Amino acid sequence: MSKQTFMVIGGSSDVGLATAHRFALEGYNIILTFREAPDQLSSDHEALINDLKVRYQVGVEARCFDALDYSGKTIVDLFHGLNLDRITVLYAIGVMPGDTATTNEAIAANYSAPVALFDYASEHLEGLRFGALIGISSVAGDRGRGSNYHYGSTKAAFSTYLDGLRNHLHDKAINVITVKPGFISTKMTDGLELPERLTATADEVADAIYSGVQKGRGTIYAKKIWQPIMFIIRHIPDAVFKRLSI
Amino acid sequence: MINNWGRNNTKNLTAFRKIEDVKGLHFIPYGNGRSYGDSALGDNVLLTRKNNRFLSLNEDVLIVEAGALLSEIIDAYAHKGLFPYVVPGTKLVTVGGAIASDVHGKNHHKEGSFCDHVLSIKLALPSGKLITCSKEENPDFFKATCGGMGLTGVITEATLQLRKIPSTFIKQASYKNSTLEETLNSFEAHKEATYSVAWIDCVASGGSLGQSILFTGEHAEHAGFERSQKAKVSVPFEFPDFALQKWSVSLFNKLYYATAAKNGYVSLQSFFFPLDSVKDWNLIYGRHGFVQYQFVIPKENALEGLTTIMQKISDSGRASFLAVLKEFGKGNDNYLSFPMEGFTLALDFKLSSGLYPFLKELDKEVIKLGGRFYLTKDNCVSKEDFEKGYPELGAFRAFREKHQLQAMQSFQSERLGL
Repeated sequence: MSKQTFMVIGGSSDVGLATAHRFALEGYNIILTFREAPDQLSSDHEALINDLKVRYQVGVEARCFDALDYSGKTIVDLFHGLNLDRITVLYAIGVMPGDTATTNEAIAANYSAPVALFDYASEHLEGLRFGALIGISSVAGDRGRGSNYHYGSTKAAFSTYLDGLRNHLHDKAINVITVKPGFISTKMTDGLELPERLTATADEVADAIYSGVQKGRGTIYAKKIWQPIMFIIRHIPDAVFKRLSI
Repeated sequence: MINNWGRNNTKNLTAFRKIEDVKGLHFIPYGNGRSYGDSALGDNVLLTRKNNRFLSLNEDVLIVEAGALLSEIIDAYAHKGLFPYVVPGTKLVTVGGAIASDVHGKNHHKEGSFCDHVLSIKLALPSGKLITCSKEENPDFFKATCGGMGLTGVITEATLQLRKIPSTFIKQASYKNSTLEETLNSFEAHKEATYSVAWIDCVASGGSLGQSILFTGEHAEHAGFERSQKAKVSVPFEFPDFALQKWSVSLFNKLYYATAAKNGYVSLQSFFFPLDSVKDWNLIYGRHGFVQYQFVIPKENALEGLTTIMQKISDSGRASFLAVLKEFGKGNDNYLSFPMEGFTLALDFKLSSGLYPFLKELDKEVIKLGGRFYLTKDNCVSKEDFEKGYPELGAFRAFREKHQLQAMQSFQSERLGL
């Protein structure tokens, strides 16, 4: 059997990288995408690629993808030359609108870009028998909250897209997975006080994704406790919900 | 939460992530928080765990950043036939920490300690200068850094000689001994074994004083390769203070003595790291935490000395389970490395009133017997008692002074004037 490949769109995200480690441990070859072209990578990115190679003795390749600046050709190039039996793709880019990004940029990175990628992948690469297409969405998309509804709505759109794609691809035996990690302790949340029982590490999310792929799951919560929590949050009547400051 | 593994620190500390940020401050590197006492705690600590990249593997020689855990090395390579040469009782220590403590394992009597298999070290000095040291290059830096408790600079990278293993299993044999004398003879009788260690009952008294089970192990041939498993059980909360009493520990020890002696093939995990399978096991000592006490005394004084000390421990009613006895081979010439030829005993004491005065009594016995204390476990030994055990301490202090390394300071180094 030829080696399987695991592609992470957004190689510098903590969850993306942790998941690459998890799949490399299982012997997958790894492709990581970065905003920079492969010959212009920072020394830090080069070091993390080398780390994967040395640790797991698998092939690791960098490719270029910028969620805020891409074209049809970028996407074609991204999958170019991948003549593999099975490939699994994880979209791990997520942008929080606010200080560092505009709402439009968040819509592009969290929704438009993965839709363009996964549409292309599912329409044009059927012959490759995909392992899975995986999107990192968010519990924030399950219900709009006063504190972060711009971000939440981009994730709601992405979740709904992934639901539909899963349904659409069911006959072709391509699995589509929606990951809703809940709180994650990453460099983004460094220094924030997060409730321990609700907070997953990037490694825990990676484990959940790997096992979700093996079991053919649809939606994954990294900490199972989020499932009942979000069930309740979704079912609080509007009249009550709008008064809550959550 | 930054604390030691004994969870008994009450002093304030400030954590930094970047080496640039501690410039001009007194600080100590902090890896994965597995030191039991105050050796990796200080007013300022530099967190090194995240610098854990693997840099190269050339057959069986590995170069890693010092924040990598031994567990990461084992997870990556054990099933491919490579294993660290020396492993302590937990794999959840960083490579930098293993070097700074010059940790020992069950094969010390034959193969020495961790640093005896370290080919070279990269060190960032407080001045900002980077140096490489090994037995050949800057050998004085190597001797001071191995076992040097992080007081010579920040270990950033290490080149490690790994061991080729024929499987991920250990062929274990076990031998029950009903007295201390039998236990010591049992070590002697099995000194050819690659790995040996004894679990010893420190609660039993009278005729059963020193009853033990000696475990020996060899890497098993033709037993196959399996990937390591993650911790499945965890201690969910701090145990209440009444959970560990003399009677419950005594009951545990009796059960253990009756059932634990097993022979046959066991996994690397269960042979080397049984406690790692229980995540956060240190919570069982309750909210005050615990102290681990480890010393070594020379072979010629072992029977008499251990009898005295173990009698005191047994009489005190303070002993916990998990007392470990091990025979050391010859020590190396690093200034502060702990192992020296003799027997080492390690045990936990739950922190409770009167403990420190009691340990002080034990300290005196250990020193009288020509023994010494393990800095990685230590939390309370006096400067005076510590100094008596380490003849090279003067050379270490002089080295620190000569190279202006006094910015490296832990609570321990301040207490002991290292």
